[in-house]
Formats: sequence, C-alpha cells, structure tokens
Amino acid sequence: MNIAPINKKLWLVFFLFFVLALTNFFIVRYFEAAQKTDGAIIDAAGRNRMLSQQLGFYAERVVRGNEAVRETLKNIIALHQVSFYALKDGGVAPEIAGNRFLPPTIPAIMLVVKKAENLWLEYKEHGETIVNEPVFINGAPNIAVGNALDFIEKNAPEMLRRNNEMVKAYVKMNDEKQTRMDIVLFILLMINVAITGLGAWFAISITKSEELKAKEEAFLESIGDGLAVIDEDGKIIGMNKVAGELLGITPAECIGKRYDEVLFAKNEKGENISLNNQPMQIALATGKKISTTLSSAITYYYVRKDETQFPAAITVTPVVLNNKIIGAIDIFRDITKDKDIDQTKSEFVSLASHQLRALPTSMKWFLEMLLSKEIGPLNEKQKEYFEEVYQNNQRMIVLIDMLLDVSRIELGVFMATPSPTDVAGLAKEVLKESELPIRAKKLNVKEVRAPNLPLIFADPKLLRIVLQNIILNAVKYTPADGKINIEISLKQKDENIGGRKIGENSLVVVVADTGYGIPKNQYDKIFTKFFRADNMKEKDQDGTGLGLYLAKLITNRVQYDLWFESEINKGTVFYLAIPIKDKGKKEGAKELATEPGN
Amino acid sequence: MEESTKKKILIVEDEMSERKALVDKFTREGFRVLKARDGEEGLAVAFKEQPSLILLDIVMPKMDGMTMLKKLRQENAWGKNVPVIILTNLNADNEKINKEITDSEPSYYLVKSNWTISDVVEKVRERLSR
Repeated sequence: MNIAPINKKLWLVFFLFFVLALTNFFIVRYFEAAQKTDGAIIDAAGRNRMLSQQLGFYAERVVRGNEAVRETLKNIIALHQVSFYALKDGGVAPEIAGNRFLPPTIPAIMLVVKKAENLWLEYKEHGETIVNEPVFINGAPNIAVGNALDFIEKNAPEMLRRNNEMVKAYVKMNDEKQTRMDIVLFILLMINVAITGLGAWFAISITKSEELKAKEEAFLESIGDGLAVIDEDGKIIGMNKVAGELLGITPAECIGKRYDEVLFAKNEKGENISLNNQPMQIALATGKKISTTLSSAITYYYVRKDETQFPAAITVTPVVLNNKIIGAIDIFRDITKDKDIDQTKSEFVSLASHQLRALPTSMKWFLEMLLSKEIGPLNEKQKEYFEEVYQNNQRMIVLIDMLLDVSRIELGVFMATPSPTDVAGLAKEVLKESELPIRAKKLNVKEVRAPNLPLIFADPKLLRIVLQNIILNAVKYTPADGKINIEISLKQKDENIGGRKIGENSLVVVVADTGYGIPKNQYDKIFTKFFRADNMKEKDQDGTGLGLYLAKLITNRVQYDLWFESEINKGTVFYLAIPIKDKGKKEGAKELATEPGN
Repeated sequence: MEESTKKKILIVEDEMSERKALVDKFTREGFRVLKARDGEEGLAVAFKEQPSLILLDIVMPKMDGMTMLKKLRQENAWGKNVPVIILTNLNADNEKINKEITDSEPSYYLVKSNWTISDVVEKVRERLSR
C-alpha cells in the first residue's frame, strides 16, 4: 500500500528535547556564573578583612622607621578602598576571580556594610596620615603620626569584628541565594522529568500508531481485490498492489493523480461515462455507496494503462468522518471470466429449454394421434396404457417447464419488464386454464374483485407464473366438492390481512381453499425447493415440489409479498401483496444475451 | 378431396420426429404437405411452391427460423403476405423474438409443448379460412 503523507510528529518530539537541553544548558550556566560571583564576593570581603589587619601591621612598621613598607601600606589602603566600594556599590575588586564584576550589595545587609564603612573611612584617614606624614619632624617624633597609629591599634579589634560581620552577612546572603537556586534547580529537574516522560510517551504512542498503521496497510495490501482510496478532491491517496496489477500501472505512479486519470469508468460500449455519473463522483457528491456485481444492470469498465479495458465489479464507499465526506474507497475486481461463465450459463439454459422440450413434444403428438384413433382402433388395455404414457409425458413437460423457469430466474436471465397489468384479468385467465380439473372435482370457485381496481405496474409473465402456482395449488389440493375463493382488493399501508400488516399500499390477491391444509411443522419448508408436504405425497403424485419455490423466487425478486395461513383439513389461504408503485425495471435481472438461433 | 383443391402448407422443422408427426397429421387432415429440414431449404421450397401457410420452427441448423422469416418478408409480395405460424420450444418471453414477430406480420407464435397437435391443425384451419 502506498500512502502519500508521512507522520511528522516524531520530529516535534525531537525538537522539544532539543529546546529542553538548551534551556538546561543556559540555566546551569547562569547558576554557575552566579556561584562564581558569590565566591568572588566572599573572597573580596575576606581579603578586605585581611587587608585591614595588614594595614595595622605595616602602619606600625612604618612608624618604627621602616620606610621600605610605606609604599606597601599605601597600596594596601588603595586596594582595600577600591575593593570595599566594589562590594558596596558594585564594581570590580582587583584580582578577585579574574576581575569579576561584583553586583551592588543588597539593602538587607547594607547596615552591616555601612558600619564597616564608617570605621574604615576613619581607619583609612589615619592610615593615609601615616603614609603621607614623616615619622620625625625636626628630630622629634611626629605627634600626628603617633596619634594615627594609636587610633589604628586601638580600633584594630573593632575593625576586625565589623569585617567579620560583613563576611558573615555575605556568606549568609549567599547561602540564602543558594537555597533559592536549589529550589529553582529542583523545579527544573522536575520539568525535565515531565517533558522527557511526555516526550517518550508521545514518541512511543506515535511509534505504536505508526506500527498499527503499518499493520493496517499490510491488511489492505493483502486484500485480493483492487483497492484505491481518494480524498475529498478526488485525488488518489492510496492504492494497493492488486489495483496496480489490474490497471497495469504501479500504485506509486497513481498517488496524487486525480482518480479520473487512472480509474475512469466507461460503459459496456467503451464510451466515456460523464464525470457526474462516475461512481467515485457519485460517492463523493451524494455519500451513497455504489456497488455493482456480475448481475447488476450496469457494468463499469476500467481502462488499463495500455488502453485495453476490463469489466469490473466495484464497490465504491464514501468515507465519512464527523458527518463530512472526506473521501472514498473503491474496491474492484476484474469480472471478465465471470462474465464469460455467465454467458455460457445463459446459453446453456436457452439451449436446454429448446432441446429438452422437443422430445416430449413429439411424443405428445404421436400419443395424441394414437389416442384419437385416427390411425386405427385401440383395444381397452392399449388405450389405458397409452393414456398412462400420455399423462406421464404431460407431467414431464410441466416439470421441464418449471425447471427451466426456475433456472432462468435463478440465473437472472428473466428480465422483469413491468407494464400496466390487469391482475384480476390475469387471475381469470389462469383460472380458465384449470377449468378441466375444476369441473372434474366439482369445485365451487368464487371470484370477488373490488370495484375500480387500477392497473398495476408489474411484469405480466412473472405475475402469471405466481398466480398459476397458487391457484393451481388450490385446485390440486382441494378435495371434490370443495370451495375456492379468489378475492382481489386494494389494501392501505398498515392494514391487517392474513395475520400481517401491509408494508405499503398494495393490491392483494387472496386465494382461499377448503383443502387438506399444510401441517404446522412444515410451514417453514413450504417455499423450499423440491419440498412436498407429508400429507400430499400420497394424494398427489403429480407435484414437482417446484411450484411454490418458483412463486417465492419470483416474488422475492420483484419484491412482492407472498405468505399463507393454513389449518389441517380446513384449508389454506395464500396472500399475494403487490405494492402499488412504479418500480421500473428490476435491477439484477437482465435479458438473455443471445439465444442460439435468433 | 381432389389433390388440386387441397390447401398447400409448408412445414419447416429440423427435428425428424416432430416433423414426421406434423406431416402425418396434416396429410391425414387433408392438406398437401411440403416439408423442409432447415431455413435454407424452407426458403427455397417456399418460393418455388408458394404454399398457403408456413409452419416454422425457430432453432434450426444452417438458417434459423427468424432469419428465414425476415428473408421471406423481404423477398417479394407473396413472401410479404403469406401467413406464418411459428412453432417453437423457446419461451415467448424473449423480447427480441417478440419484436421480430410483431415486425413481420402476419405471423403467430405457438409454444409447441403447450399445444396438442389437433389444436395446431385447428389454428392452421382458422388462419386459412380468413
């Protein structure tokens, strides 16, 4: 099976995973950076604590006369100053974490920082005094320097304490930040798990549905008939191998083409069928299923790639989704062989009807001439025997006729050609044919017909066979001096008759006799082929077991209703309901194509 | 009955047995009977002898009855008007045959097995008396 569009949902899953990975990367990277910054803050604060202690140390040495470290002291003060304000207001603390930019201190710990700042500014001022002033002035120790050192030494513990507080505050701040980050990371992890799970589920379900689809395709591919699927625009979206073989084309060539380019139906004469009458078009436009078989009145022909054509039995079914026709499926097969066989069958029946009838016909005529004594007199026994032969020959003629009728109807070679028909007149004619046995048995036959019966649109030949069989049955299976009532009337839809509700307005023929009746346990067999009621096999040897079967066969074909009610030794009533409407020609029946010798 | 006043009829029938029954019967009933075994022979005899009536089978070798009937009707004025009774074992429900028969009046259609041989004679007499 070639299917045109491919499922692209799996790509969506991959894309989703990619976005997730990228998000993870950036979030982790951001956290990493934040952690570096946090480390830098602690480092800067720690270094400043150390610097403030070194300031005291070097200040003392300068005052003691070590001029070499005066510059060092100056640098310490400067570095502390820059670092401190980088910490407080944001900026770069030199040489900390590769000159990383530090963010301004958050308001929550500003108080601690300001406390350190206040002391630092005094510390710095005194430190600078030591840096800038000479230790001795005119041989006497510089009082300003001595005071500065005093201040620094006196405040060194306080300076350390305040610095410690500051470091602790920063550590605490960072810890809190870390906790928040942990929460964020946990949420991120959860999102990761959720998306990965969802994606996996999605991927699995897509794979599964793909697998299912593949299976379905394999099923479709395995259908022995040709299969083509079109969308609502008439484009072929699927075709199996068999269809390709039937059309002499590869399915892949057909995908995407309009159906009328490869599956254009023609009629029996090879003429194009108009686009609006194409079965696919009808299915798409009306939502109706189009189905043809060997015995359909119309046969569609499909054209192969090499422009030869073949008769096809097709079933075109519209595909309906949410009340909308979204396409159609055509299942078709080549019925060339079936048509040939059908033709042979029809010819056989026609031939048999001629050949089989010829033999008893000439026998009938010879016997008739013998019995009429025109050849010469017969003695009593001769006459009796010839009469026996004549009767049996007559039975054979009836049997052959019935067998032929049955096979012709079963084969569908009987074409029902309805015309306005006088049903009551037909019944009268049929009754007349049975005049002889009626008179012999002294049967009381009554005919009741409703006034103003209309002509009914029906096939008189078929209707005649039905009437013949039910009327003949009544005559046959009613003992001498019995009664037969034939009633013909119109019944409206839903009226009750014979234990039934009439399905539609009908002309109803009721044939009631006072005969032997049908045993209850055989009701369901009465219309079957070659069936003969138990109680009749003895009384009537003439029966063929075909009459009622034939009648039922015909009524089924032309959609009449035929049923009965019966009581043993009281009689049987047959009901025939002929719907009053123009049915047109019965589909499924066709004319015998060629009668040999026409 | 004198040979010259006897009505001349032609029986075209391929089945030997049926032909014999008909020929014997009609001869006894006082007809001058001509016979033919198929459509070709039937057509030849018909034009040569110009019988008053033709009994014609449908299914026959060489030329079937319907073809013979068509040729008979086309050939000349006599052929156009000679009454033909089609005696066949084919059912009369064949539209094609029915149409051809209506097209080639005056013809009648009898299904053999439905008729006794005396009835056939009756039918022929009735037609000839018109």
